[in-house]
Amino acid sequence: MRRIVIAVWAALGMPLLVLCSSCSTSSGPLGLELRSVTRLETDRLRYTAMPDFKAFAIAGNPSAVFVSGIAYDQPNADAAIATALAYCNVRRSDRSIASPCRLYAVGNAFEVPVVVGFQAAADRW
Amino acid sequence: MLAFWSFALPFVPALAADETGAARIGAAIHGQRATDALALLSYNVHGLARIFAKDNPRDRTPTIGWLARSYDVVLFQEDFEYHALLREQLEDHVGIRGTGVGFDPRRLVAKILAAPFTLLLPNFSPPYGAGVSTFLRKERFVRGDIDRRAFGICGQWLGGSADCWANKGILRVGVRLGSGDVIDVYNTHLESGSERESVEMRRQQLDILASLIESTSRDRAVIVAGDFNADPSRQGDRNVLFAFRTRLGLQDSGAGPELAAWRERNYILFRDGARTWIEVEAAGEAREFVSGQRALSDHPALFALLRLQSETAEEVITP
Repeated sequence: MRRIVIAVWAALGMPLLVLCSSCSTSSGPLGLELRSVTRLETDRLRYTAMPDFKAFAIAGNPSAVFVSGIAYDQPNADAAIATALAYCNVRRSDRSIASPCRLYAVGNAFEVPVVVGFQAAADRW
Repeated sequence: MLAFWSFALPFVPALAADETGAARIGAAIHGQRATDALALLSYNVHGLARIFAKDNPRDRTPTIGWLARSYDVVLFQEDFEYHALLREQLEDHVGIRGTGVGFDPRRLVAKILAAPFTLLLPNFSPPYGAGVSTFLRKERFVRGDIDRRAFGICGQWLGGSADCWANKGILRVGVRLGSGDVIDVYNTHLESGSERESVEMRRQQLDILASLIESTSRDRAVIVAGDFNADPSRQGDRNVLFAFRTRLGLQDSGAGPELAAWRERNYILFRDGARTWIEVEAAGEAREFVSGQRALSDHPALFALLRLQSETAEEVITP
């Protein structure tokens, strides 16, 4: 059935779409509009659906240059935090970001303040 | 034409700054070492047929080419339908394209089926070749020092991002330095998609790329750039990317997106050669390709200003 639908679409819809779009001469403003959803928002949505134990670390300015480290499916909160910070630190070094990696989320609780030790973070959650 | 200038004019200061940077590019001998510099741009230009691009790439492509002039080496991805427009603007550069459609029977059938539209419609010619192209300043070009390789594997024709409509692969171009040494610049565009199968496809494609680098660029310094479609915040992609970098000893130049809207999928990686050392002077997003809330593509343009030192210098080119 799926193949028939695709075949009909290809036979009828595709030519019309192509003709309509390619023959039009009207041009809007130059270029493509930037996405309204930011990378951090996308990452955050994806992170929310990930299995525990998990943590999300970031470094830099989330509205400009930043890197993140996300760990999930870890044996405990400590391991999740350590892994997220380690991943973040590798990318921080890659992008030469001066500010340190900080926890953005542990589990599904976001905006964790800067944490000194992993255990301290785990205790809060 | 008016659209071209209204977009490009705000960037004139940025261009001037780039040209100041380019003025540093030249060659000098310090003892037994020759120093050179390269301004490199890597940009997925979203050069699809209009129906798929969701805008008219014919309008923005000349601006992309014009702005890319200030770079010594320019690596484009998704350079499918409007290559001639880019080439027109980059008249001081030699342009080299990646693999063509190839001899995959499925792609040939698709080409035949699409033929009526290709004949009737302007800038509509799927299925495509690799879509990667590399432009370099004429004095940097080494005749015949080119490799083209198709991955020969792809995910889907109809679902997902329909990557099979392009014969994705690798383009290697030798780039001459002022010292006379040659470095290898690899341009690639990997499978897209976030599914497990797509990550595995990228792993296989990077394995092909790594093998080519190992066999071809044994002693040469290497730059690998392009659209990797690999998100470092995804565990699978991160593992694949780091395994690739570790295998070849590649470092990240630090080039990456600087606007909150962009995703991180494109990279400029490099490693030293036996006689050539690469140092990053600056790297980031080439912001002249964005104006306000509009950009010349759906990807960020990445740049790296690289300083290269070669052990011996018999001949020095001063552009």
